[in-house]
Amino acid sequence: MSKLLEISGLRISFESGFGKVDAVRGVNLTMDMGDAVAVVGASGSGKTVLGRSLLGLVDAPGVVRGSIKFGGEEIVGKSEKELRDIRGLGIGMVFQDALDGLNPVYTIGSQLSEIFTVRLGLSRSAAKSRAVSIMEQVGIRRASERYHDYPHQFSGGMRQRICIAMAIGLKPKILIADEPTTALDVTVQAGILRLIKDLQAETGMGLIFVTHDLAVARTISTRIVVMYAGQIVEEGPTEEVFRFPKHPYTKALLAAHPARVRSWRDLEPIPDAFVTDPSSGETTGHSSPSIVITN
Amino acid sequence: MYTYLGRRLLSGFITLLGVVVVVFFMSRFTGSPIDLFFPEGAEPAQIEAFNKAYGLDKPLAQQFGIFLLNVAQGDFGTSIWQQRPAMEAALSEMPMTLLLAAIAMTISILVALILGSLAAVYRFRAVDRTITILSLMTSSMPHFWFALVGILIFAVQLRVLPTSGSNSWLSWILPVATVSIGPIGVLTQVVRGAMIDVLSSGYVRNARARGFSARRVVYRHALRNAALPIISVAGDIAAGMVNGAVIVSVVFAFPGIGRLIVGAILNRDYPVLEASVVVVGVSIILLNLLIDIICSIVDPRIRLN
Amino acid sequence: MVLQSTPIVASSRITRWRASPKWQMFTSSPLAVASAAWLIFVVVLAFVVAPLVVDQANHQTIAMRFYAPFRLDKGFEFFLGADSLGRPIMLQLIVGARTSVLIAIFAVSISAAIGYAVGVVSGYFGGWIDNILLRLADIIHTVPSLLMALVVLFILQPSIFNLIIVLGITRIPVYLRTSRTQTMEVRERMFVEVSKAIGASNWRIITRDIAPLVFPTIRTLAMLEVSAVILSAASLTFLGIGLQRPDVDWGMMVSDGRAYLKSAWFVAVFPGIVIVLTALSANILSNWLRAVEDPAQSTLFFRAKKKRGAAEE
Repeated sequence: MSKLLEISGLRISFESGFGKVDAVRGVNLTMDMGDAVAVVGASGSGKTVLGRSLLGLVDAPGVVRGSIKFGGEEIVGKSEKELRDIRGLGIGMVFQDALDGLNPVYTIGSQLSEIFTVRLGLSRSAAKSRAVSIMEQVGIRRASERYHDYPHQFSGGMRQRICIAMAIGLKPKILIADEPTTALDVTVQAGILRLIKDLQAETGMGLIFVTHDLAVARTISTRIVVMYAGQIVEEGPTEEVFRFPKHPYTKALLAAHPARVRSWRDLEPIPDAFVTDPSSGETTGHSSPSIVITN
Repeated sequence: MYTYLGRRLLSGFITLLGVVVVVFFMSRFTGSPIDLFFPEGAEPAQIEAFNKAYGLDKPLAQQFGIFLLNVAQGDFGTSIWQQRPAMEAALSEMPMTLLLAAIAMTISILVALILGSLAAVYRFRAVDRTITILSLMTSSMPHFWFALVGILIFAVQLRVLPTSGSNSWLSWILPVATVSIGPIGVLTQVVRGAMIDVLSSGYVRNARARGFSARRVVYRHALRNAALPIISVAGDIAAGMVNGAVIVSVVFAFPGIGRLIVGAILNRDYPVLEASVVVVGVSIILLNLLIDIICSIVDPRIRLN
Repeated sequence: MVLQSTPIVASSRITRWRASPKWQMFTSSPLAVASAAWLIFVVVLAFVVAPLVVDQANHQTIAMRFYAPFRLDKGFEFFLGADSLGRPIMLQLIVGARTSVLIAIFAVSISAAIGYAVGVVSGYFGGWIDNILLRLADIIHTVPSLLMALVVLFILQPSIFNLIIVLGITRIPVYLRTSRTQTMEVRERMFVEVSKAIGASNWRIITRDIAPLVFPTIRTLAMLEVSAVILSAASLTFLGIGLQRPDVDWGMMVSDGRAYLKSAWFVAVFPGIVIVLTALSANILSNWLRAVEDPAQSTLFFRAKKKRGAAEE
């Protein structure tokens, strides 16, 4: 039986008159329903582009090569029309900026209902009750009243919950969360993370959580994938990777984390060697039957 | 929201007052109409009678006081040139200009929305380049030159359109085109800029991520947000259209407040001048108020603040 | 880690400027180069050539009335034809260039300088000063500029100086608004608070912290305004207001030619073309300046995929 998601040999580059940038350089990854994978890396590692490519949201001048199979079907090369069937219904995505992610001129209720009327063909009233129930599901109190409010009338955490509601509204099989908590207060972060975990437990959907925050990755995921300069340099079960990192970059990443040191003098920044010489990295894997490693 | 509108109205009123004061003092300094009506060596008695009739013999401060009192009642005096109430003259010419401006504005906005959106969606490609160059060219063209070239080509060479007057609908084509051409250039660029910003925003990306069709994304999600900057700019554009209307009335002998004002200046008719400027000022203030209202309807962030 | 100093290349300032990105961007864009070339050409004509040909330009020869253009047999100066009084159009254009350039430069400088300064003060201090200044700006702004100029120019004698003053004053509100808005934004920034905390005087904060940040916006605006002022001045002189012979300017030339559109089209069309070219060049250059600051918005100066053999602009 085929996996839910199979990525092999994925390469994404941006080619313009100014030159060529390789954002993703040969990535292989698989996952199943119920998996919670954290994709960890610094800015520029390619993790965000990777997430976007799963929905076919990498626009020109970006070029996607390789293979992404969702439920056995190849996504790379599909037309915009064909991709629409997957978006929302098959795979949902939550982005970092919740305020920018909501249309300021419509009520959030109408934005939520729109998903149901347009994509599921529900009537206005059916869509509305669906919208209200999903608002409650993500923890918005007095949902039926707040249905008529505008995005700017909500707090940051609430807005992100609404965005999550929009992403899971159509009950996708995979949810991609691209740094959803980065812009939020630490206290609010915890609530969002709990929400995502609960939702995943309830629906059994797969979760791809992109982040640069190691602590968050550790909380939310069962598997972790470390990206550097467009390649996966290490993957494995979360706890294992945290306790026994094998790749030098992973080790450096963990060593740079403030939580692990007693004094600021002990903090070690990532040495320049990694920045200037990406070819020194090799993918290191932890033995685990559910992971396939190929280069 | 009503207090907001009320404040804007009051603010507009104060501005209007300022305009009226400025106009009064400026027109009093323009020079007396005496020189125009009376030849050299005219009888002092006649001149005195003229001055008395128009209240010009009183000291300036007193003239101003009387002026304000009359204005409060809507009385701008009698036109020296046309022998009828000044305000009546101004109000009779204004509707034509308003109509011209309204038609031109509608056309400009529609054309700009289409061209600007096209340019934004097909950014950096041939379509965009052409549209951008065209809009740059149109915003570099003076009204009068466009009008003259239009006359040259369509009226003189091709004999398709009349050169002046306002009887048939044909004679409206060149004037409307002249007044809209500049705004089309400017608005197209504004629409393009706004669309580009909106198309790269998070909510548009989200709409795509939810699997909506391109048409839905552009029409329902993008356009309404791109419209906001356009509406704000519309106020300035409208004021500029009055400029265009003045040129148009001169070049095409088109009726409107333009030719009234030029005539009033040439004939040193300050009642009419004052009345006209006030009428134009009021129109613009009301227009800006209208624009504020529209803005607050379109953008809930303004409304609910 | 020892900091390595970059080796100092023994190059002249010009060579270093040539290599700078701004110059590269400029030279790689034919449109920008052409526009700048035209503007420089006009300025040279205006200040270098004009004084030399003034008398010839105003010399009326009835025999040369409406002499048709594109012929060289009567001399180079009649290549663009002659107007209703036999004056050579080409030379008139050159003299007109001086008028137009003077008006444009001075009017823009006046309104930009005043609007900039007053806007910064108004935005910084707020309160009743701000209210009054804003009110004044509104009054000027409410009456459409042409109207205002028409009325004012009738008080004053027609002259280049008065035209400059009127155009300068009527356009102040644009700069004032922009400058004020930007000042209010910058005023809230952290480094201004820091300056205050150190005890810097208001004057110092304004001149050192705030004004320099507002300046680039004003500069870009001024470039855009150059084209607007050229067009406004031409409209005014076209209507017969503001200038009197022997002062000549392009708008006035178009007006002169208006009556002879059928028979001698060139009298009105050539000055018009020159106006359009000049305003267009100013527009293109200001567009280029904006493109330099925000490439995402520009079309004309950004090459799409090179491998498509993108056509030269």
